[in-house]
Amino acid sequence: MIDAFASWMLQFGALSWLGTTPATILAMSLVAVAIFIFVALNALVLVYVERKVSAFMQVRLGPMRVGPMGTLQTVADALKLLLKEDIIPRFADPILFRVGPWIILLASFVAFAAVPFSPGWVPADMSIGLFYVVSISSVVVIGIVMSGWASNNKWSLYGAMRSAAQIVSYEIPVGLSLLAAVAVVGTLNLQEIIAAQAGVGNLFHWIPIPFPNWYIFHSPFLFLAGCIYLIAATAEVNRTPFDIPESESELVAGFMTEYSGIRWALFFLSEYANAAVVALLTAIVFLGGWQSPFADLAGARFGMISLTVLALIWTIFVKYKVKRLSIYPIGTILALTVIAWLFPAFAIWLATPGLVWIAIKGGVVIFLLMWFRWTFPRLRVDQLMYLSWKVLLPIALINLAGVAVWMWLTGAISLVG
Amino acid sequence: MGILEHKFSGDNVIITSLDKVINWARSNSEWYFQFGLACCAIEMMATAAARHDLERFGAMPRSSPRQADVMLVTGTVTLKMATRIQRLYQQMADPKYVISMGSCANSGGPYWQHGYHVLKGVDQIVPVDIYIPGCPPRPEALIEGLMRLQVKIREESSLARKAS
Amino acid sequence: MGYFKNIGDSITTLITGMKVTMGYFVRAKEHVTLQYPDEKWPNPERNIGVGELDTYNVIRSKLHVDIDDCIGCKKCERACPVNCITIDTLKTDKGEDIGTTKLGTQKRLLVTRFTIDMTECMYCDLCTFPCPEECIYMTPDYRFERGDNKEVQVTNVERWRDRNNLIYEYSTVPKTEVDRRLQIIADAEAVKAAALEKARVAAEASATATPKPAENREITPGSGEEQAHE
Repeated sequence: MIDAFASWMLQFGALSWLGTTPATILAMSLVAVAIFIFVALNALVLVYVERKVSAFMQVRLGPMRVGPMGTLQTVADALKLLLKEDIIPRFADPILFRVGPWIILLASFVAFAAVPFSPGWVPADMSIGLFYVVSISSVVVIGIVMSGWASNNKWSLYGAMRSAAQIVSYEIPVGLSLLAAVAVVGTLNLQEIIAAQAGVGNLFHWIPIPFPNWYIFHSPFLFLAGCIYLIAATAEVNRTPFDIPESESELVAGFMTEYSGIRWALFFLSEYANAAVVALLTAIVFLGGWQSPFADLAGARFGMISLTVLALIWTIFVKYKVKRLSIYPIGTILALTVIAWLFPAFAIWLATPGLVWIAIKGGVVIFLLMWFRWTFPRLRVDQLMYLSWKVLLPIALINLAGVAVWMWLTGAISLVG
Repeated sequence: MGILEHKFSGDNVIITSLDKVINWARSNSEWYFQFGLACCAIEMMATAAARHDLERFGAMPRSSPRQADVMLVTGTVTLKMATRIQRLYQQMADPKYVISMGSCANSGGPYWQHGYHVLKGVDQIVPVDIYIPGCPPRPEALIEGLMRLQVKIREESSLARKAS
Repeated sequence: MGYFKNIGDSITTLITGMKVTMGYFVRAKEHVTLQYPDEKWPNPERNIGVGELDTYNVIRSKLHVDIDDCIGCKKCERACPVNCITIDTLKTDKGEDIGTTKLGTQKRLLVTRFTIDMTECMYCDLCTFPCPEECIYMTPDYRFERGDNKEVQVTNVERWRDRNNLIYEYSTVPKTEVDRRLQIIADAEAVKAAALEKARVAAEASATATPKPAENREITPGSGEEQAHE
C-alpha cells in the first residue's frame, strides 16, 4: 500500500519532482497520520458509545445534555482533559513517568501497521503480520510497568505488577488459539488469512446450511478457539471482567492513579486503540476480515431475506415479552433487503469485500467487549490465574490437536505424504 | 494551561470566545471525586443511579483525585478526616471545584454547637464553591447544585487577566 | 469432575447474566430515569406514621415560617435540637394593635428577628409541632429556589455562592422600626435610670449622715454559729 501510494504521488503532476525515497517517506507519514486520526476518532466515538451502552444496560440514559443526545460529551471531556493541570508528583521518576504513557500509546498504535482494512489496503503487508500484531501489542506491558513504577505510589505499583502477570499469562491462550487458525490456513500473513476465508460453504464442513467460509464456522474446534481468543484478548486489553490492574474498588485507579490531564487521556486513547486492535484481529482471523458474508448477487439477496426472517422471528419472540421495543434494527434490515431486491447494484456491492465489512465485524466484537464489561463482575487475582493456566491453556492445547484431527478427517491434510 | 492563564486582556474577542469554549468543556465534563463520608453519600449514590442519573450531565465518578474536577464532600467531616480531605484536595489537578453537600459539611450541622469531633463546615479547610442545604439533600438538590456549579464555571474567565 | 462442572456452571451463569443486560439494552426505552430539570419526581406521598398526611410527608424539604402569624413565643427555638432558630422579640406598647394571627390570637410581641440557619437545620420537623399558631412548617420545596428570603434580594446564583445567604431571615419588621422602638425603650430606661440614680444619690447622702452599725452585726457570724451547733 505504501509503495502504491508513493508511486501514485510520483505520477501526480505537482509531486513528480520528489524522488522515490522521499515519496515513500511522505507516503508513510501520511498513512501514519491517517491511522493516528483513526485512533483518536475511534476513542472519541467508542467512549461515547460505551457510556451510552452502559447506561442502557443499567436502565439509565447516559450523557444527554451536551449536544443532541449527548453526542458532544466526549469532545467536551477531551477538551477539558487537554486543559487540565498536568501533575508530576515530586517523588515520581520524572523521565519514566513522562515516557510510560507514550510507550503504551505507541505499542497500541504501531499494531495498526499490519492490520488490513480492505483488499490491498494494509499499511505494511508483511509475511509475519499476525505474529507482529500479537507481539507488538504485548509491548504495552512495558509501558504499564514503567508508569506504575515511576508513579512512586503503592497502588500504581500493585496495578502494574498485576497487569504484567496478567498480560504475560494471557499471551499463551491468545497465541494458542490463533495458532489453531494458522494451522488451518498455513500462513501468518493477515491478507492471506482473510483471502482464505472467501466464499460460502457448509457449516462445519458437513452440515448442509450455507454459511460463509469464515474460520469461526470452519469447525467446532475453531469456534472454540475463537471463544478462547475473545476471552483471553479481553484479559489482554485489561477490560472488565479482567480489569484488576485498574480495579477502582481495590487500587484507586491502578497504574494510572497519579496521572492527570493529557497524560491520562493518552491511557484512555491507548485503551480503546487496544480494544480496536483486538476486535479487528478477531474479525480478521475468525470472522473473515473484509470478506463479505455473501458470495454473489443471488447470495446477497438470499442472505438478506434469511436475515430478515431471523430478525422478524426474534422481534416477534421479544415483542411477546416486552411492551416497547425499538423498531430501528428490524426496520433497517427490512429496508436493506427491499433495496437489495430493487437495486441489484446494491446487492452486488453487499457481496463485494471491503472496508465496510471489517468495520461492521469489528464493531460487533467491540460491542461484545462492552457487553462483557457491563455484565460481569471483576475476577480476583488468583481466579484470573486459575482461568488462564488451568482452564484456557489446557483447552487451547487440546483444541489445537482437535483442529489437526478435524483437518485430517475433512481431507485438508493427509497423514501420508 | 499554566503559561497561558490570566495573561491576556479580557476585551479581546478571540479570548472571550476561547474562554467560552473552555468553559463549555469544563462545565459539561465535571468528573466528581466521590467523598462519601456519611448518610449524604447514600443520596449521592442515589443521584448517580438510574433514577436520577448524574451521568446525563457528563459527570463521571473517578476514584483518583488526579483525574477529578469536582470534589463532592458529602457527609460529616470529622477532625480526623479533615486532614485527609485537605490533602486529597491539594492532590487534585486544577481547575478544581468543591461542592459541600448537606448540613454537616456546610456548617457542622447537628454538631455545630457541641460536636467535639466535627469540623464546623468544610469551608474551613478547602474553598467551597457550592453549598447544598439539606439533611441529607434530596438527589434533585444535588443535581441542582451541580447545575449551579455549571453556571458558575460558565461565568469564569481563565484566559483573561484578572481585574486586580 | 468438579473441574468440568465448574466450567459448565461458569458458562451458564455468564450467559444468564448476559441475557439480563441484553434484555435491558433492548428495552432501552423503558428506562426509569427522569431528566430532572425538565421532568420531576413527585413529592413522596407516603405517611410514615407521625402527624397528618399533608404535614409530615414533606420531611427533608425546606422549613418555612409565615411570619405574619408568629406570636414570638419561642417554642420552636426551644424545640430545635440544633439551635438553628434564633428569635428576638420586643414588647409592644400598651394598647397597640399589631394584628391577629390566622387562628385569631392577638399578637403581643413584635418579632424583630426570626432567622433559620439553613446550613445547620436538620429538617427534622420537630419545631413544627410545638407551634401554637401553626405558622412554622415544612414546604415541599427541596430546591431552595423560591425567593423566601425577603430581606436580601439576590439572584439564585449569588445566593448559592455565599453561604451566609443560607441564613434565612423571616422577620419583616424594618430596621428603622426596630431602631425606633429600641430608642423608645432606651429613652424610658434612661429616664428610669436617672430616677434611680437620683434616689440612690439621695439615699447615700442620708446614709453618710446617719451610719447604721447594727446591720453589720446582724449578718456576719450569727447564723453560721447556729448551724455549727446543730
